[in-house]
Amino acid sequence: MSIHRGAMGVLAALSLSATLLAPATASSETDACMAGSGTSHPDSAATGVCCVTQTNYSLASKGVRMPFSGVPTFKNGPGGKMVVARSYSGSVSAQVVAGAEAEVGAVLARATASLSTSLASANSTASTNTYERHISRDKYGNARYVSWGQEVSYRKFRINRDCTRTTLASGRIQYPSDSEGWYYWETGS
Amino acid sequence: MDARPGAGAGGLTPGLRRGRVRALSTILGLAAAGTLLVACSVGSPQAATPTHPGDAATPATSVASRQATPAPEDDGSASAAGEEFTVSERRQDAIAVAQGSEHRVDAATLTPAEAGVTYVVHAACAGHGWMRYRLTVDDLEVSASRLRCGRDVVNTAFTAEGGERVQLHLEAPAGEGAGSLAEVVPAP
Repeated sequence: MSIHRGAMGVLAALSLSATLLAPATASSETDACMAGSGTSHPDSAATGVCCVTQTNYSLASKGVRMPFSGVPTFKNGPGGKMVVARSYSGSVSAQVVAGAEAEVGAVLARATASLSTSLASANSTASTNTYERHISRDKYGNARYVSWGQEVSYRKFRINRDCTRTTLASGRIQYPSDSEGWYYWETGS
Repeated sequence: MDARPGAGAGGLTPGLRRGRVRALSTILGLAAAGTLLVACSVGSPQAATPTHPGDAATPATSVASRQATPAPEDDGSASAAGEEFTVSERRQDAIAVAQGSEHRVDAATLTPAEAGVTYVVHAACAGHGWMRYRLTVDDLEVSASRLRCGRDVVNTAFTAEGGERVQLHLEAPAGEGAGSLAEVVPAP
């Protein structure tokens, strides 16, 4: 019985050694990563972990108004009231502000998943939206039919084996959304 | 109790099958009891909760009107997109709201406008052809819109100087499955 207990103890010790050895192996692998890349990455050095190589995107966005094509800007004043109606069809599509056209689809797929589900590559509609507006005294009222979209700034990067990041592409793309309506603003002349 | 065909006990001896079926029925019984408990615990607060969001606002002011029949200029036909369109839930940052359901419209002023913030009216409806809203700021009509259902519409409302009292007045046809929403929210 005591021999049996002793064997169990040895087995437990071996198991513990194996557990302790695992990070040591990973650590030496990290050293190989570091040597291969010739770079220093504090995270990988501290944790002793190599990264899985993959391509990813980081996104940021801000609201943007995208005018529908074929719908003019209306203006009235000074003062009084303006009534505008959009009863004819119009469309608006994604616009590349900076970067490659080829990224439009990939960035949209990620933007709809993480930023807004209502973003789209294009918005086309023929529904009617009549808008009445009181114009401030001595001001001119302006109105334009827009899609309330998002300008998405993206950075495409590769995570290297040594956990460093290499930027592959970056840019800005404006996407329309399902939301549409009248944008109104006032001017002095 | 015999195991029915397709009950998932294939390949077991009859004894084991009976045992598994008994265990399954026990699990189902416990699950049913759990469901009842959940239903009870959900049901209690529901009874105390206002039936519509307008009542939840402390300074609520009902200003809504309802029109049982379509306006004369309405073509009366629901848009094709409106058949599948779902009106979204009210946003948490709304400062005024008006909501229409099958048989009633409720409206409320939720909080005063914040200085320097530009607001828009988000409006949507489904289950009928059209809706109309009017926006008043400190009892003065600022804007109004009439729109067809089946789209998310966002129209400019106003830029606040601070503390304005905003109200929405909603008109929409009543009827089975009808739903309308207009809310004043910060501009996107």
